[in-house]
Order: sequence, then C-alpha cells, then structure tokens
Amino acid sequence: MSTSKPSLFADLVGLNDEVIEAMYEGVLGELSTVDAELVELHLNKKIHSETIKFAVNKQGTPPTLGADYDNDLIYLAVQQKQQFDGLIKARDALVERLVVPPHRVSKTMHEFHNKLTADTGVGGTATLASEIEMFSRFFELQAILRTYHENDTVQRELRKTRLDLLETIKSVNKNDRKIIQRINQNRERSKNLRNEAGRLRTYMKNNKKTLQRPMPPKPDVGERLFSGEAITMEELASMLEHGGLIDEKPASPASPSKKRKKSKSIRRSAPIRGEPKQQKKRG
Amino acid sequence: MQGRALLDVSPEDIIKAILERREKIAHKLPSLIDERTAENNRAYRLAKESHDALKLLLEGTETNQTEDDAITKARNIYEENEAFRRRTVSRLQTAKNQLQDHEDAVLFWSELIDKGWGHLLEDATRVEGGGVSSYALMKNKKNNGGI
Repeated sequence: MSTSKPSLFADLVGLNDEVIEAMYEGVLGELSTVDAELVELHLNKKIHSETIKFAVNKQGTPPTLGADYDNDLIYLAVQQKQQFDGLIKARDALVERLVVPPHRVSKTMHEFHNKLTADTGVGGTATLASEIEMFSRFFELQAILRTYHENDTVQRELRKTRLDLLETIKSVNKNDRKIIQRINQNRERSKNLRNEAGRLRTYMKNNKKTLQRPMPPKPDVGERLFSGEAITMEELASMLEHGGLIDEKPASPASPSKKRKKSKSIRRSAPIRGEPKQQKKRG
Repeated sequence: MQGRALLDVSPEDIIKAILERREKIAHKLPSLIDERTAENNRAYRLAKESHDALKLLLEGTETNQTEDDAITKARNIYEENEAFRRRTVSRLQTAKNQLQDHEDAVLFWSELIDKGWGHLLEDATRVEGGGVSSYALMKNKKNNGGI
C-alpha cells in the first residue's frame, strides 16, 4: 500500500488566476518591506557596534549619525564618552602639572612639618640649609594639595561619568543583541517569503500564466555579477525589474585605456612585399 | 597633624615653631659644650700621660722579653687613649658647629619673620598661579636628558 505525497500546490488548486496573482503581488510587497527593514536594521546594528567600539576606545571617532537618526541612547552614549574623554584630559593635565599624587603629598607634608617643628633633641636637628629646603617644599606641597582639593569635583565627575557611560553602554549592548535577534527573525521571514513567492511563481508558470513581475534578486546576486560570475536569465530579469544593476561602483576611468594599451601591444605580422634579398655570392 | 589641618599652617606658624625649637636647643648647647670640653681635656691628659710612658720605655736600653711586653702594653694603652681623644675632639667640634648653626638659624629665621619669606615660596606661588610644580620641572628635565 503506497501513500502519495500531498501536492506542494494543494492549497492553490481551484483558486482563480487573479487571486493567485494578487497573492504573489502581496508576498512580493511584504518581501520588499522586510528587506527594507533588514537594511535599516543592519545600519542600526552598525551604528550600535561603532558606538560600543568608540566607548571602549577601540575606535577613535564616534559613529556617523544621519540627520534623521533618532536613537536617543546612541546620542547619549556618544555625548557621555566625549564628556568622559574631556574629563580624562583635564585629569591628565593636572597630574602632569603636579606629578606627586595626593596621598604622597599629604605624607611628605606631615614628615616635613614634624622635622621642622617637633623637638627632636640636640642630635636630631636638621641643618639650616635643609630646614630652608623643607620650608620651601612644605608650602609648595600645601599649594599642590590645595589644587587637588579644588579639582576634587573633576575626579568626582569623572567617576560619575564613567559609571553613567558604563550603564549606557550596557543598554546599547542590550539593544545591539535585540537588533541581532530581529535581524535573524527578519532573515528567516525573508527566506520564507521568498520560498512562498517562488512557490506561487512556479504554480503560475506551470499553469501558463505570464508573470507581471519577477521576484526581487537575492542580495548576493549583485556581488556575484560584479565579481565576474555568471547569473541566470531570471536573476538578470529580476535585477532589471527591481534594480541592482546600476547601483554598483562605476567603472574606473583607468580600465578602458589599460585595455586599449594592451590590445595595441599585440604584435601583428604581415607578409613582406617585394622579392626577398638574395645572399651575396662569394667571389 | 594630618590632611586638612596641614592646609591651614601658615609660614609664620612654621617659622615661630622653628625659632622656638632652635632657641630651646640653643639654651642646652653651652652646657653640652662645657661637658664636651671637660671630656676632651681629660682625654688629652690621658693621651699625653700614656704617650710619655711609652716614650720612656722606648728610651730604655734593656731588651728582654719583660721589657718588650711592657712596651706593647704601653703602646696599646696609648693608642686607646689617643683614639678616645680624637673622638672627644670630634664631639666637641660637632657641639660647637651645632651652636654656630643654631645661632645662624635663629638669626636667619628671626630676620625672615620680620622681612618676609616671599623668596622661599616661589614654587608654591607658581603652583597656586596654575603653573607646574618643581617636581614636574625636575621630571621634565630628567626626561629631556638634563636640559
């Protein structure tokens, strides 16, 4: 006993040609919407990745955001990173100017103060020269410590901005993962829609229906074409219908001249006219 | 004294504290010098006596074992006393130098408290004015090969 497989077109049998045509058009419309969304998602993903790279110093420049880009989180992350960089620069300039870290300033000041003022007995007294040196250094250290205290806000702001940036980047990363999920979902959807469109098209073809519009080309067709690989007539038709032939890079101006040069360099030989020279007879 | 409290210390406070400490020690030093002088005198006398004793033994004509032992013993005593004398001279000189240093210091800081200490606070003033610290200057100089 054998069981026959259910037909791939079982649901289409008995439907009007116009209905199937409309279904086909509908699938194509949905497919182009999904593909457009996919492109947008890829762009958004790129911006998210570049923002994360910029925030963790793997990339020196922030991502280029279009005028119509409206993701506040990305703008916030870029702004916080730029603020963080500015504060780091201010802190580095301060450290470069003062060199000695605050804890060492405090410690040395305490030591100098003790040596200058505490009663150490006859033997433990510093000489006048070292006393003068310590006196001068003590007040320089005092000025350094005061400067550190005045710039305490920079340190506090730096710590806060760093934490804020970390939090923002966490959210950007989370969104980035969500975009990846959506890209995968859309890819799956696009694949299913392509299959469905192909099924409808095949059915219509089998029923001798002339197609109004071919299916949109797959994303890799353009790449294959311009890398010199062969494409089918159907793919070419779909590219003509949906675009993809003229979006590619223009041919470089150097290439034709190069070709011409090459063709010129081919040596051509032709028969010599006239009689061939005779060899001189030896006398 | 720690942290914030050290920020409130003024140059005048430090100079006053230095003068107070210096004067306190300067009062103790003359008696210390007297002690050191007495010690030095005693050491000088001992060294001289042992030197004379050794000289006397060396001038003798007898050359037996007992005489040699006595000379060795006298030489050891003389060397010990001479070393002690040198130590006391050094101690006395140190005490005298300390007294001189204290007198100079008291004079210097006393004049400073009246005339002002501006020239000693050049580095502090530069830092307060937004300039680099002397530590940064030293570091830069070191990095530039001492130029």
